[in-house]
Amino acid sequence: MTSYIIRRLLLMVPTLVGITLVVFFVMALRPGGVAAAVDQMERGMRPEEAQALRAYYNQHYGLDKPRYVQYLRWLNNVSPLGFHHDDSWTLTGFGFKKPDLGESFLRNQKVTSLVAEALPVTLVLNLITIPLAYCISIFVGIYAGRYRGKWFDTTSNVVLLGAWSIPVMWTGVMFVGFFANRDFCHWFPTGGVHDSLAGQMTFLPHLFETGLQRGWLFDAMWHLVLPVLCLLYGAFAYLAKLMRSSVLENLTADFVRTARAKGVREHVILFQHVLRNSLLPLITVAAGLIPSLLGGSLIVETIFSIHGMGKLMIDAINQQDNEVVMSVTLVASIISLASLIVRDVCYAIADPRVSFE
Amino acid sequence: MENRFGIKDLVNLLLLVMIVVLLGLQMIQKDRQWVLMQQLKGKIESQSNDLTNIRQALSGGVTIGNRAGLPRPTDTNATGTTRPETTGTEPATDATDPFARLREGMKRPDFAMGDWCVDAFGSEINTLTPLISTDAYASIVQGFVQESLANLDPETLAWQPMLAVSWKPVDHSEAYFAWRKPVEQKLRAEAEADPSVYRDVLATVKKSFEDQLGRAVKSEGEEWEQLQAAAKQQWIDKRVDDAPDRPVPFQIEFQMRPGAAFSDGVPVTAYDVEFTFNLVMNPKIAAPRQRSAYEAIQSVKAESDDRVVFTFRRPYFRALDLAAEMPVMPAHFYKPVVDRDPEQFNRSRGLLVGSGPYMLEDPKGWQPGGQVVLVRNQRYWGPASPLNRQVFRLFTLDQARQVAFRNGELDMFGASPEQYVDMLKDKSLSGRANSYEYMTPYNGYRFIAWNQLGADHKPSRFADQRVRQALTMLLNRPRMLKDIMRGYGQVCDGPFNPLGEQNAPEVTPWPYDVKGARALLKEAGYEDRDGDGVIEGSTGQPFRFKLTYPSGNVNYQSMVFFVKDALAEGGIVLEPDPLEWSVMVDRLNNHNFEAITLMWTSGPETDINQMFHSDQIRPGGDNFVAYRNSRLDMLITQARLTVDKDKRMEMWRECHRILHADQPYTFLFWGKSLRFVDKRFKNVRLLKAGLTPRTEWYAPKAEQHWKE
Repeated sequence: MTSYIIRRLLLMVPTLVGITLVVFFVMALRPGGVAAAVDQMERGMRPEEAQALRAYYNQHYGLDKPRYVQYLRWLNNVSPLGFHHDDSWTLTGFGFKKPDLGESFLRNQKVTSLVAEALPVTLVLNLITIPLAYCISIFVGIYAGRYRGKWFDTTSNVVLLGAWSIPVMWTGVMFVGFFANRDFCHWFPTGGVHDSLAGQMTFLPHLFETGLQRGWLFDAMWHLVLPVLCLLYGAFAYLAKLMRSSVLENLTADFVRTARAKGVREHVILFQHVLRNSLLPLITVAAGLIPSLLGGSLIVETIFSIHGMGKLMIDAINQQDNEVVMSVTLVASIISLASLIVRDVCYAIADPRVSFE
Repeated sequence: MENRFGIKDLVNLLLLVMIVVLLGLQMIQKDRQWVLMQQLKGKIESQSNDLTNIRQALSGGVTIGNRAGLPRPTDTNATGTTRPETTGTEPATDATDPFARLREGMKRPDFAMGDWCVDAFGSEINTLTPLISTDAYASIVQGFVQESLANLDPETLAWQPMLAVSWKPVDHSEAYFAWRKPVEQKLRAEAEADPSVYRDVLATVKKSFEDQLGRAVKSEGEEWEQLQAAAKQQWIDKRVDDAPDRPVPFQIEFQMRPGAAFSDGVPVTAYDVEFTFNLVMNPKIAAPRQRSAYEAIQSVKAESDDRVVFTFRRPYFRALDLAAEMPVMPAHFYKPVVDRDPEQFNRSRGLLVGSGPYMLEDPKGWQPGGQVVLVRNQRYWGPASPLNRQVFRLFTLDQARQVAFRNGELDMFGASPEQYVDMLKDKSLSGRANSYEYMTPYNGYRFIAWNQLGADHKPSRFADQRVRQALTMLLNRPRMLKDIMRGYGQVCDGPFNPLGEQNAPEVTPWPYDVKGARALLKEAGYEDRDGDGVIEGSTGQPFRFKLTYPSGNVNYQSMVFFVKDALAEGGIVLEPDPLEWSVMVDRLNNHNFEAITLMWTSGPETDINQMFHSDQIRPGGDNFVAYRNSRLDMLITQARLTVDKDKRMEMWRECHRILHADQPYTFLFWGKSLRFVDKRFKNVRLLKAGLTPRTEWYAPKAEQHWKE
C-alpha cells in the first residue's frame, strides 16, 4: 500500500505540470493579452495612459517576456524545489524554497491573499451544503429503494428528476424574486452574507428594549438559506438517485436473501447490511465533490452577490489575469488528485477484496 | 459483548455538555460586553456631534447671552443636540461658497441630521487606497473622503474653491512659443539628418506598439513610418522639455484655505499638495496611469504652508483641471507607509484618509468582501453633512439589485431604459421614490465608426465622405432612440457633450433622408446595377460589410439589427459581427474591422485628440478609423495648447463643424441617466452636472429609516 501511495504521489508531479501547461497556453494564446485587460478597465482611457499602464504591467510582471519564459518563471515560483532569484530575476542558486503562488497583476495582490479572502465563504457554503445533501439523499435513496414502485418512490423520482433538471440560474433568480421580495414573500434577504447593520449586532440573539435582535450568527444563517438551497437541490437530487439505485442493487444481493432467510429483522437488514454496502458509490462521488469546495459556484455567487472563489476565478479568466487562474487551477488540481488517492485508499479499507499490492 | 451505557460514558457525556454550556455562557458574556461597548460608542458619537456643533457655532462667532431679536439655534439633530441654522462665515448666496445649497437646506423647518443613504455597487471593489485603485466604484467612495483644491460647481460647471480659497494663473505661453519654434525646427532638422539620435526612443515606442498589437512591426511600410514619426516627435518634445534655458510656460498659484483639516484633525497645508504630486510621480508607486496624466506638470512646489505653485512643462488647456482636481492626500498619514515600503502601499486595501465630509471608520483596516461604510467626518472643516452614513452594498445581479430597491434595502437605483419604463408604471414604487431623467456632462455617446482603411491598407469604401454622409442619412436616429433607449436620450451630432460649450450652435444632426442618401451613394459610384436590390460599386462588387460589436450585450445587438434593416433600404447589406471583448479589442488595436459600434464617455470639455487626430492613426492609437483631416489636426493641436478659454472654445466649435461634415463616425445618440431616489431624501435637485451631491441630502426626522 505504501509503495502504491508513493508511486501515485510521484505521478502527481507530471500530471500537475501537464494540467498547468495546457491551462497556461490556452490562456496565453487568447487574443488581446494585457492590452485587452487594460482596455477592459475603461475604454475612455487616453492612449498615453493605457500605454503607461501596459508598460508598467509588462515591466513589473514580465508579461512581455516570451510565453515559455513566463510559464517557467511561474513554475519555478510555485515549486518548492527550484532556482532562487533576486527581483530582477538573476538566478542566485538552486534548492528548496518557499512556494509562491504569484501575484494578480490587475489587482496588485498576492494570489494567496485573494484566495484567503474568497475561500472562507465558499468553504462555509459547501461545508453546509455537502453534508446536508448527503443526509437527505441517503434518507431519500434508502426509502425510495426499499419501497420501490410505491408512492414515496414514484413521488421522489418525479421530484428528484425535476430538481435535477431545473437550472440553478433560474431557481436562484426565482428565489430572489419571490422569497426576498416585499411584493411576495419577503422571508429572506436579497444578497450578501450579512445585513448592513450586522457590524453592530451581538453574536447571539439578544432582547433589547426596542425588540429582539437576531444577532450576527443568525443573521449570517438567514442570509445563507437561499444560496444553500440553490446549491443543495441539484446536488441531493443526483446523490439520491445514485443512492436509490445502489440500495436496489444491494437489496437483491445474495447476502440480503440469506439475512432474510435467517430471520433478521427488516430494518436491521436495511440499515446495517444494505446501507453500508450502498455507500460505496457515494464515496466515489465525494472525491469529485471535494475540489468544488475550492471551485465555488459562480452562478450562486453572482445571484446572491457573494464574493467567493467562483467569482474570483471567472473575473480572472475574463481579465486574463493568468497567475490567478494558474495558481487556483494548481491548488484545485492538487486537491483533486489527492482526493482520488484518498478515495482509492478508502476503497481498500472498505472493501477487503480491493488490494494494491 | 453487550454495549451498555456505563459510568465512563456518563462522565464523558457530562463533560461534553459542560463544555457546550461553558461555550454558550462565554458567548453570552461576550455579547453583554458588546452591548456595553455599543452603548459607549453611541455616547462617544453623540459627544463628537456636540463638539462638531460647538466648533462650527464658534467659527460663526459667539454671542454671549440671548439678546432679543437674534436667532436661536433651533434645529435638532439625530442625537438630540441642537445646531445653528447656518454655519461658517460666508453668506449662503456667495457664488464661491461650495456649501451654499447645503446651507439653504439647513434653513428648512424639516431639516434634521441622521439616517443613512444606501447605494449599490455592481462589482467588488479591489482596493480603496487612492492612486492604486482602478475601478470606478472606488473613485465614488474616494470622492466622499478626499477633496481637491477646487471643484466643478455642479450648478454652473465653473470652478469653485474647496481646499484652496483662490488661484492665479501665470501665463508666459507667448514667450514660450517664441522660444520653442526655432528650437523645435533645429531639433527636427537634426533628427531628419541623423535618425540615430532618436534610436532609443524608437525602440521604446516600437516595443510598446508590439506589446499592444501582440505581433512584430516590420521595419518598412506605412506602419513603420508612423512609428518613426511618433518616436521623432517624442524625442523632440523630451529635448524641448529638458532644455535648461526653456522659459517657464505656465504656472498656477493656489492659496490654501485656512482652517481646513484632515479627518484626523491635522491641518491641510500646501506641503500635502506637494507630497501628493511627488507620490504620484514616484515610480515605485503602482500609479502609472496617473503619472501619465500628470506628465504635463513639471513640478508642484509648496512655498509656504498656505501657498502652492504648479509649474507646467508647456501651455496646456487642461492645466487648471489637472491641478484643481488632484485629490490632496495627507503626508503625515501616507509618507511613513511609503517610506517604509512602497510595496506595502501598493498592496494595501483600504488606506484612505482625506479632508472630505465622510471617512472610513478604520482608515487602515477596510477589506474587500462586503460593503463599504463611510461615517460622517466629525472634524470636517465645512458644515457637517446631514446623513450619518454613506453605505455601499454589493449587488452583482441586476434583478437582485432591483428587488433590494423595491424592498427598501437600497435608497437609490440607477435604471436601464427598460427598467425605468417598467418601474415608472409601478404605483407602489412611485409612492416611495422620485424618478429623475437627466443629461450630465459625463454621459457618453454611441457611434458607428467607419474604417477608412481596407484590409489591403488601401482606402476602403468608407474613405469617401459622401458614403459616410449617406450612411448617416439612412439611419432614422430619433426612431432608433425611441426603440432602443425608449426615448431617454438625445440624437448626437458630434463628439462634444450638449451641455458643454464646445458645440457649434448652428450644427444640427443629419436628417433621416433615404432619397438623399441614395443620391449621394449614386454620386459616389454605388447603384443597383443588376436589379437584385443591393447596390454595387463601379467594379460590380456589392456594398456589403461587417459591423463589429461586443457580444453578449442585448442593447448593442438590437441596435445592430436596427441599422441592418435601415441600411437595407439603401441597398446595403450589413452582416452583424459580434465578438467577445478581448477578440474585439485585438481587432480594434490592429484596425482589423470594417465598421464597429461602441461608446465614448464624455466630460465638460472633451479632448478629441485621441479619436480624431491623424497622429493617433498609428497602431494602438484610438483613431482606429484612420480618419485624416489636416485642418482638424491643426485646430486640435492649437486648442490643446491654448489656455484662453474663449479662444479655445471657438477652435473646438470649428472642429465640431468639420467632424459634422466629414462624419468619420455616425454619431448616434447620447444616453440619459435614469435614477430613482427614495422620497424621504430632501434637497435633491437636478443640476447641470446631475443630482445634487449626496453630501447635501437630508431626511426629515420623522421619515428617517436607518437608525444606529
